[in-house]
Amino acid sequence: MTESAIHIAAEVRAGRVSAVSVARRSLALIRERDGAIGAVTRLLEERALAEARAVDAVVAAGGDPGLLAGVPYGVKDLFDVAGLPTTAGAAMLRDARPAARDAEAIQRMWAAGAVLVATLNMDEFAYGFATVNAAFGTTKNPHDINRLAGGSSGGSAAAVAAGMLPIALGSDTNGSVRVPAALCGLYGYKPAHGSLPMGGVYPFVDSFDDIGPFANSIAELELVCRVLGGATFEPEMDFRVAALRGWFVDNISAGMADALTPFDVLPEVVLPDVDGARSAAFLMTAAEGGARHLPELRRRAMQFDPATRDRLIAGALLPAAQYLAALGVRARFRAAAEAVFEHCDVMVAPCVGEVAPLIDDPFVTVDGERVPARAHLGRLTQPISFIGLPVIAAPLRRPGKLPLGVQLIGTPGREGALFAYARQLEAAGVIGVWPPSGGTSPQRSA
Amino acid sequence: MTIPLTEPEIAALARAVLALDIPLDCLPGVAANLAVLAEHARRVDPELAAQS
Repeated sequence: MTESAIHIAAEVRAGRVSAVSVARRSLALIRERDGAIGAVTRLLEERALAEARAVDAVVAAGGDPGLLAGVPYGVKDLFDVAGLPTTAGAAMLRDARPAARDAEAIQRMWAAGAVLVATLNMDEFAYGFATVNAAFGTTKNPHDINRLAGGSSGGSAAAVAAGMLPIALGSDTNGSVRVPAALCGLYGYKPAHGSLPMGGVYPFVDSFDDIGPFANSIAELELVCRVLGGATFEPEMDFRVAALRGWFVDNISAGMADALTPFDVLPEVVLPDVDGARSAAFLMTAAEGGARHLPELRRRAMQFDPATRDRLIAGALLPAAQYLAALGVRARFRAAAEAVFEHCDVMVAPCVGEVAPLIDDPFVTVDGERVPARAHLGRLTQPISFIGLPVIAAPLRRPGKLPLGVQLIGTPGREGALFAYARQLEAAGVIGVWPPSGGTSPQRSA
Repeated sequence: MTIPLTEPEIAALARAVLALDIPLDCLPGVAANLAVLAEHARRVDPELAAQS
């Protein structure tokens, strides 16, 4: 675990530490550690040092570079970075026309003094929960390098979990921030749909796409959200919490069931037809993703990663009637969730059903069957983003064991309650980050 | 779960409705993914489920 973003910014703003020295340390850590992890796709040394020097110049002139002064960070490979092709994890885009300007989120991070150090690995076009990429490699889990980091923002999660960066940005369509956060033992945030800036972010599924940060603490997560969203969540002290049961706990491992025991005291709630909601999200994702990539599939299908190509083609073939049926399911599921939220303000549900799968055995268990992790690791996250709710993915504190996480689910406009509850859990030691053991032992307890 | 289409039929459908020539190497994977989508479609469309 690296130095906190809050501490770095305080030191840099006070002139006690230079942003250049922080950037150099982060660059050195990436060079030292990423060979075993495979999180970084491009190291932006020249840019990082230039930004860091500019931050130091502001401090030297008596100014304030901002809330994230000198904090190094990385972005998933689907954010536009001025002067570089936006690959979205696709080999075919390696030589694409360079972005003319930074993504809006990167502009906001820079306006707060953050220093962009690296771009980070992902599943091709964000279609997967594994970060197994035919062109850019497989990102390993820093808690056990024999295991998946999760995806599709696996590079972002692994870079933070390995202590190479204090914070990183990813994107979440069906769980692509929450799943890797849970498997790598980090905090991640999936905002209320449309509430954080998407300008200059390579799209996947417009109905569900959002960006979100990874961090080692709730305070850091909230700070990055404040920078990205341009506003502070209104703090709330009076809120009701419930445990989301039923479908969400039907297929969890014994380890996850045990890790959820601190929430046994909460009143229980259930949502109807979650299976249908998950299927509808799956169909809308396939249809929208397939339609988006159809022009390139016509031109050069064989240049896609085989793991995404066949899924995208199948999605393009989905009849409109099924897409419309899925929209109907979404309207009913949203109404059902709103009815449940009349009785609580925050819901708690598992983020994943089990610990990170082995890279050599990339399957998870659902209804007693072993199914591909790439498509199914997001089974518990998909129904929530389907209706655009804000979610904090939080690591259940269990040092010595492989990470597992919970979703703290709120409603748009009530994020203050969500973060207040997360701070309570963190203070009580129920959730929290612990450093990886070094990540080479396959014998760690699940 | 399977879908009631052969791989040549899937290829013909893609060509006819999407102007997409599916490379031969991709057809088994596309068929497998269509079967997964068909399973999900049955969960959102009761009439489809009733007929299968």
